Amino acid sequence: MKVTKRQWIYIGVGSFVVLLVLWGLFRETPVTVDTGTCKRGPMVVTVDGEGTTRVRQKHTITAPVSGKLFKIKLTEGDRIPHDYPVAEIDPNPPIQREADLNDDLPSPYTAKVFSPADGRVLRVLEKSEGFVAAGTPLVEIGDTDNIEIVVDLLSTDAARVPPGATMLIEDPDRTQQLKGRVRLIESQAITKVSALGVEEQRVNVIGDFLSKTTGYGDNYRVDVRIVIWESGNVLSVPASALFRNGEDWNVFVVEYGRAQPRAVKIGQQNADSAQVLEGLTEGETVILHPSNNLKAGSYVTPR
Amino acid sequence: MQRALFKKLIRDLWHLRGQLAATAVVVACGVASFVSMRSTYASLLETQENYYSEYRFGDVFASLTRAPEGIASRIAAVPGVAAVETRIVSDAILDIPDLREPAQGRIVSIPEIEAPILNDLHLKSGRYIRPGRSDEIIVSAAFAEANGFVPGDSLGAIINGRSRRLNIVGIGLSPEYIYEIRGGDIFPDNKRYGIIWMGRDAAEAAYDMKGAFNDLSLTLAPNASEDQVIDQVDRILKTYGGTGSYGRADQQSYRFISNELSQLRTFGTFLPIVFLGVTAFLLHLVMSRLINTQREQIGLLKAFGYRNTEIGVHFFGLAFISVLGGIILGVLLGIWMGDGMTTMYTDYFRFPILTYHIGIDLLVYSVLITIGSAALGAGSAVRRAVLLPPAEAMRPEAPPSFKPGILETSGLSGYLSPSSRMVARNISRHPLKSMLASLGIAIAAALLFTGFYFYDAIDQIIDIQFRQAIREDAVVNFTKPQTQKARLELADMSGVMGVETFRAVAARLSAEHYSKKSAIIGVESEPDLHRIVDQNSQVRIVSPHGLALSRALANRLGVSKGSFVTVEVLEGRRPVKRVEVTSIIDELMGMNAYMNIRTLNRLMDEDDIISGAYLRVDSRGEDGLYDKLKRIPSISGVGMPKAILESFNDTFAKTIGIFTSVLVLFSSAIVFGVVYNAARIALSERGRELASLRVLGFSKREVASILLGEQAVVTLVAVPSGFVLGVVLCATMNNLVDTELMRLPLVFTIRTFLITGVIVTIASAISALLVTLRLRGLDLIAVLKTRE
Repeated sequence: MKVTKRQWIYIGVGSFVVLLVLWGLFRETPVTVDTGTCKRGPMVVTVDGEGTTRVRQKHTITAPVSGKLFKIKLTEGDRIPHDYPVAEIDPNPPIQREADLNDDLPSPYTAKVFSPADGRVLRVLEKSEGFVAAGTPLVEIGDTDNIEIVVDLLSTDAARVPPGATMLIEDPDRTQQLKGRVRLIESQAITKVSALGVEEQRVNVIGDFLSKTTGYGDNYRVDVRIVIWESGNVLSVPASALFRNGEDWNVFVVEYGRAQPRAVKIGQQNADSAQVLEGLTEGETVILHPSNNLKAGSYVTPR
Repeated sequence: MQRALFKKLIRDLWHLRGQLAATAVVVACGVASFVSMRSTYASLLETQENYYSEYRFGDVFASLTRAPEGIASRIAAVPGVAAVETRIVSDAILDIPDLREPAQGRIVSIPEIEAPILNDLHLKSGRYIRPGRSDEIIVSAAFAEANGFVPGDSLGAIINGRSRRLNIVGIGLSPEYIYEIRGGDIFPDNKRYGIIWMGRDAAEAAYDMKGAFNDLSLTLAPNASEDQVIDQVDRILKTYGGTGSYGRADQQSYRFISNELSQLRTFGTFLPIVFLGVTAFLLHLVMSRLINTQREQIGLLKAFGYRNTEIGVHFFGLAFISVLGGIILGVLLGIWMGDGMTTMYTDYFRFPILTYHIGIDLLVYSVLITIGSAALGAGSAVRRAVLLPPAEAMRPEAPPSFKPGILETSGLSGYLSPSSRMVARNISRHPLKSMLASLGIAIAAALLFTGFYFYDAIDQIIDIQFRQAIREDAVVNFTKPQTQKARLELADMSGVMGVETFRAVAARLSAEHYSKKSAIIGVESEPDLHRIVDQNSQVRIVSPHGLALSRALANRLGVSKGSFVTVEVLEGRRPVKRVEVTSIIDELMGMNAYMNIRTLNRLMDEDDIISGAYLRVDSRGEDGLYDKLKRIPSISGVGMPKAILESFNDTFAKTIGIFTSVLVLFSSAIVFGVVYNAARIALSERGRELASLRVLGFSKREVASILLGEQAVVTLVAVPSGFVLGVVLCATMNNLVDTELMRLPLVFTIRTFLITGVIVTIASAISALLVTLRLRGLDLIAVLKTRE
């Protein structure tokens, strides 16, 4: 039987359609993935902690003598200069005063207590008039413009903090990030029970604000990130691209539309990115949060 | 007289055996789907209702911080309350031997001495706890099964910060936990979540609750108003930290079961309707064409004095015999499938006994509706036969008009071969007939399409929920809200690569007269691990202002974007504030309310508080980390999304897979039934013409190509129309299963289109082959001899 030209066309078109359908049915469906890039740029590794501010110089004014304390007229927050009379104590208060006689005049025998420094009244400890013994704390004053930061870190984290490290003070409500510098890492760790109820070793790390601060008082909460490693030019990938293959770190690299696993050597690492020492070059595309439906050689489409 | 008609019936049956068998198969599919789903539904419903009443399932539930036992009598005195049961309910971290990750147990107190209580226990094996033995517990059946526990085994637990060893003495079931699932989850993880029943004294001692309770359940008196009781109970419990009482509709296990039941009922109605609709259509096609070809026989019968009713009964009988065969087959198949489905349900719904049974009423009902739809289908054709005047019937049918059609006027005819021209003319001269045949195949294709769509939809759900939205390796929940220090502490643990936090606050949302108790989830501003992804795979960021609601919740509250919702917080300082709805999210699962975590904490007038955290875990440090988490007192539970996905794949996906396979199988049968019927009818109608062509010198191949060409065109038109119908069918089905728990995304892959097309093509090819074989055996003389 001779096959005509027209029949050839039918056969051709038919087989083309069949092939197309077969391809559509059995082709590998690409996995849709989120991707990131391996790029160069600055990178910072930090140790994070919750700290408090502390007025550097705090003075607790105590009663110099036992006696009757007159009402302290200061209130918390008042700014007072050096040598300001803070309180008055009558060491020999008469048991019964004569009524209506020179009552407004200060007793000639009262002892005056003066402020030892400029600053703000932080707390008035004895608010009411009454008898106080010598040594009773009366007023606490401090210079709120001169504050430092105290962060208690896990001893293992504190050991990684170099002296003079930069502190980044996080405050989502501020547009400008405040900076500080670590001054001192205390050498005595203390055992504390953590928020989640576990015993751990904590060390106080003390730092200073680098710029003038407003709005902070004494014992305010600050979220601090202490820079323990920093570089201006680092090859890095998003940390979410990393996954383990045995002991080694791997990433899925997108090569010609396919996902290829590749072993990488990772240096420094923070919550967002990881420094690449070996295995990737700048500009390569990696798959973020690789899921279990991804295999070596899977077709991928970036989302 | 009757005997002659009976003989004709038998002969017609034999003659039409192929087509009638095909119709019977379609009927069987419809009946089987109806019987299986409806009987499973009825069995489940009855079991559930019996279980609830026999074991006194509560009507209203409430949790609170702590209240003295005396309060129970105040609640019992609320008008409408029948009985009150107080208890201690709390979550605890469990350390199960051989399980690397920490598990979570819901500790529920039971009386020290066995007594009938609300939400009563059913002991499956083992014994009840002994009074005064604080180490003895009863564990739930699903949990025990997943972990291979038997009475005598023991497990470690951290209860209220203290490490304890608990001994399993019994395995139990409760109507409260028919579906054992962690709060907020959609799928169960029975290996890592279970219920632990503990003596009341032991629980009081463990949680420092001497003479107090933190949870209660109550039953309502007949005709009591649930809403009023809830209001009253809430008023009493407010001072004791009550987080809002709720009825059965919001009880987790009840919600899942009723949702499943309502879906079963929906599908058990919808699918049979479609199947039976196809049956009716098919019968109409077969009968009307049969009656057309038997015009003269009908005329003869009538001329010999057969009455119209006899003719009618005869043709109806023909239709009903095939339907009856289908019903018998369908009922048997349906019972078998229903039994299987019911057994499958015992995998996730734990009833003391779940027996499958089928009611007589259901059988009668299924027979009646099938016969009804068959009568509907065959009716008009038979009516035509009945009304046909004998004289007219004896005449051959008036020839159709042979004036030039579109083909000739458009001048296209020149390009076609003679046989192609014949095909084109035939179709254009009987457009209605061809369209009906096409429609039949299209409906069958649409059913098939719907079957494959389910696979796509499930894939899409898994992709969105488990690959795009939930990307964390573990979710940690704290026993009580924590400060940011907890976040730092988790981030510091070795093995943890990333931490994201959330806050969850119990609240009642209301707008106008609508109200819904719901947790408000405080989420981070730009999450990377745990994201909110809508059904279109779009990542949704919760704005720092206002509230984002999932569509289901917004609909329930009758609000839209820009509306204000009253948020009544049920914990902490209990603020009540009006908050703007700033976005509505088309989520696939659940009814959720989201806020930015900082905004939520400000609304609560609290510092940066967190309720838990999502963790990304380095697989190398996993073991050490999980070991550590097992021993942390302030953690109430650790969830493993990947394990939940696994359990989803093991149970749900399997179930849906079986269901879908059956649907695909049935649809394929229907496709074949319809296509084959259409081809056979064409053959019997065209028999004479084709024979004439053969006599005129056309070859067998050419004649076959004329007949099959027409069928090919009909099928070719049917496939794309089937796609359109399929999309419509899927959309309808989608609306039907749109529940508060889950929605199906409307996604179609190319594969679904192709497979549907290929199956229809294969069915057509097989039908064509069968018809060609018949055409070859055509007795030219016999065919040409008839008529005139």
